[in-house]
Amino acid sequence: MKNYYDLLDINVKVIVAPNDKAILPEAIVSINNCVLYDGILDRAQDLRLKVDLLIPISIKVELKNKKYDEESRDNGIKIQLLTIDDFELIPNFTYLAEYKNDHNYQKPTSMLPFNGVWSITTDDRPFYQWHHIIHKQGWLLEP
Amino acid sequence: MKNINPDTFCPSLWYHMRILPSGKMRFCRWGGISKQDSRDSIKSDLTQENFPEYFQNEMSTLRMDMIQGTHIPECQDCRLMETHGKVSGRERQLLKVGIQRNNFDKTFRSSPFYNEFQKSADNNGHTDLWPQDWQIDLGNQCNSNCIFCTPEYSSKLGAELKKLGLVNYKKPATNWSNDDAAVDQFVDMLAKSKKLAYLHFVGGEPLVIPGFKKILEKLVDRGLNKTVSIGFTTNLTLWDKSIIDLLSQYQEVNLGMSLECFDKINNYLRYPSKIDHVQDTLEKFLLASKNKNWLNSLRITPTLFSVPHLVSIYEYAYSKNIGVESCNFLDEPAHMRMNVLPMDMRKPFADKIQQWIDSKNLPLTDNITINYRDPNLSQKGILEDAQSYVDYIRNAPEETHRLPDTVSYIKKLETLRGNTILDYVSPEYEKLLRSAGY
Repeated sequence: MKNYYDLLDINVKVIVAPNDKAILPEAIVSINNCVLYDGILDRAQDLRLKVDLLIPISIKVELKNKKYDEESRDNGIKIQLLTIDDFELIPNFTYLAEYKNDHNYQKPTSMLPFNGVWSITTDDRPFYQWHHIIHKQGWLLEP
Repeated sequence: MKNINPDTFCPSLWYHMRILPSGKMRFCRWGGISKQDSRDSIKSDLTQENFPEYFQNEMSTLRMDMIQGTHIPECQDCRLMETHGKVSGRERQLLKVGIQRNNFDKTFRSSPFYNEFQKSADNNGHTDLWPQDWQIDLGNQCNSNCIFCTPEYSSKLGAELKKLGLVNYKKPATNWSNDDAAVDQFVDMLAKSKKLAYLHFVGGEPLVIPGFKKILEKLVDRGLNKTVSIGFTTNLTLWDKSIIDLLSQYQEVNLGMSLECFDKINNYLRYPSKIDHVQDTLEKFLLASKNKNWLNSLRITPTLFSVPHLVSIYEYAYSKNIGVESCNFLDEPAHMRMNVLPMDMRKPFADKIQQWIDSKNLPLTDNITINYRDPNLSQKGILEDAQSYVDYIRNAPEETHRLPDTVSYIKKLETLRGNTILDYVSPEYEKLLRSAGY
């Protein structure tokens, strides 16, 4: 017997890694404003959070304090994996992310070489409604 | 809502309605003509006063059945489709409110309609909603006498069957849309509907039913053409530029084009059309469609006579990236079902379709494509539809006991039409038909 009053959880998983192990990036990773990582990213980090099914989801990855000198040229963050439940957003839906950075780099990417914030949101909708829309499943009627 | 059954739940009852040719209302476009009519609207006129009563209250019992997981007999066609891997009406309706069969719990709870399901559960099935998605059966006025049709949907076939003494009625089924007052009331009601999304018109043949054009014009007058999507199904025997121009004013048009195959047997099945003319009209519609960015699909009704030629339709649609749809596996008339053929005859037909599917080298997954109207998914959808027919042809229980009915029926029609099935079928069919009294 199911009880649909009980909210079901959604599993969000992000794996971020340094692009260059010689020069380590400083990173902040948050999901729905819950900071899961804040510091020097010295190795791949597997970050997970359960969120309520009906709450819109916002994932942010920030690179900060990068110096733009020759030595730091390859400094950056790689978003190796981003899944919500079993649904992989990278690479197929990377184009839906917004990347605000100090070099005004606009192309869809999951590799962050510039200081700034990469973010992807479910557009103020519960994840599965957004999932329906981005998969072009046709009308989503509303009462 | 503890008893929701993912295998039977259908949200259609919260946003969909169908008007029958008589003007009565029915709760589902997939509930075929053979289905029980005891749950149709009691009043037959489309007045604004009684309309919400049927949808909001008379359908409450059905909504409670759905919420409680109770078996609804009228849903049998969808169950059969799902058994054979065909995208069912239920699955299409689930998708429109964001519910996926293969991830039911989470998508059900996330659906924009969840709170409405809950409200109905708490109020004995009542809803305050109005339909957003309509099938409008305009009437039975038709210029075709398709052999697998019925008098309720073809006036010409009805006249033939009456002449042959095969139907016994004093007057044919009414065409509610011939009544100007009913049309006015219906359009008034649509204009008052909140969030009206889709109107699909069928006949008879919409292009010969005056009500079709009248309704389209009145909707334009009300400005609904800017917000509502229109669909209609035509038999490809007629071209009416004034209606094409009218449709051009709508924000979205879904065009359904009926034919069975590109073999000459289409002439026999969709009598008295001629396949060359049908193809010419098809090309005209496709050209208009391309220019106006309409969504197209070929509408087929596979029967025991068209099953050897199904590949011709699938290949054409595949090459042109057009969807293929059939409402269900043909139920009525029962003597036209594909499984009237004996198993040994059916197997090569299934093998032929399977070989065609395999030749495309496009992998099919367990996740059935449901939004087949997306042109990007048309080819995958066609292969999946073809696969469901392979499954049905191979596995549907044999009903050869109906063959004498088939033979008796076509022989009677042929006496009026002056044709013979033997001009259209293989010697294998001839042998079979002879064995059943042809």
